[in-house]
Amino acid sequence: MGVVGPADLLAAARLLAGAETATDAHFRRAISTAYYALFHHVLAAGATRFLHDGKMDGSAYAVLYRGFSHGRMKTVCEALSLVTLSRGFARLFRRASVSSDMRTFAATFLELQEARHLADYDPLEAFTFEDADAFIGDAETAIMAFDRAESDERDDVLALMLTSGRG
Amino acid sequence: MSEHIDLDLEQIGRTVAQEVAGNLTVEQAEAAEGEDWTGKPAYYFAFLIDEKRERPPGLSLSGRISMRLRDELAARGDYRMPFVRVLGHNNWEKRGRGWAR
Repeated sequence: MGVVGPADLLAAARLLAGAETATDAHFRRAISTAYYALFHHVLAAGATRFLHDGKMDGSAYAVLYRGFSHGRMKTVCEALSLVTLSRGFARLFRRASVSSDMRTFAATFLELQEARHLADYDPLEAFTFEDADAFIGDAETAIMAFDRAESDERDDVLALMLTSGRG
Repeated sequence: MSEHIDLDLEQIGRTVAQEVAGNLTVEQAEAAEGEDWTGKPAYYFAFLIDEKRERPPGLSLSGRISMRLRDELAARGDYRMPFVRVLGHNNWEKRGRGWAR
């Protein structure tokens, strides 16, 4: 099975950014890959969490994995990145705010998602090693922050990202 | 979610960036309104800050400034996302027109 490992993606991003003859194209691909490292980390966490039989090679795992969408994850992260949750999200989460680790994850996810979009599609922008290095490091930091969050909180976030629950 | 509020974005950005940057100097600050990849109104900031040091563990300077700006703007009732880029002298002039220009 071809599991998309976040560690492998981060390593690939570093290779691209650190290439001796790296150009704007390398930095763009590095930034995009850093976002996907974080993105796939969350997808794997969600599919694993909600599939109790541990069959990572089954269709159910793939269905859950592919059940996440960039847009829905953005909406949830926008809510989580605030110091105080909106009334709707506070009701869904049954808490007024999320942990500092979860906020760090959410805010960084949004940053990386926007950077990835510009890196992939914006011909007017130019990226540098400085940009790529920062985004790769931030992707790694966000992955660690997500993993450090309490499992209950993580479960709530994953469930909300996976469904179309109204915030 | 957000309403338009007349803010001196550049000044807010510079102040927050300087607070987060500590001993490092924010030499230039740029801010622009735009739309994120979903078409939602957002802010784009670029700061000229020469870090000249090994990257400390944890979030990058741009990541930390972005989080503080999110708090600062939300406290003013503005929920637009601030996207932040920090560049040193070597790269400041190399940046394109897609971000905060």
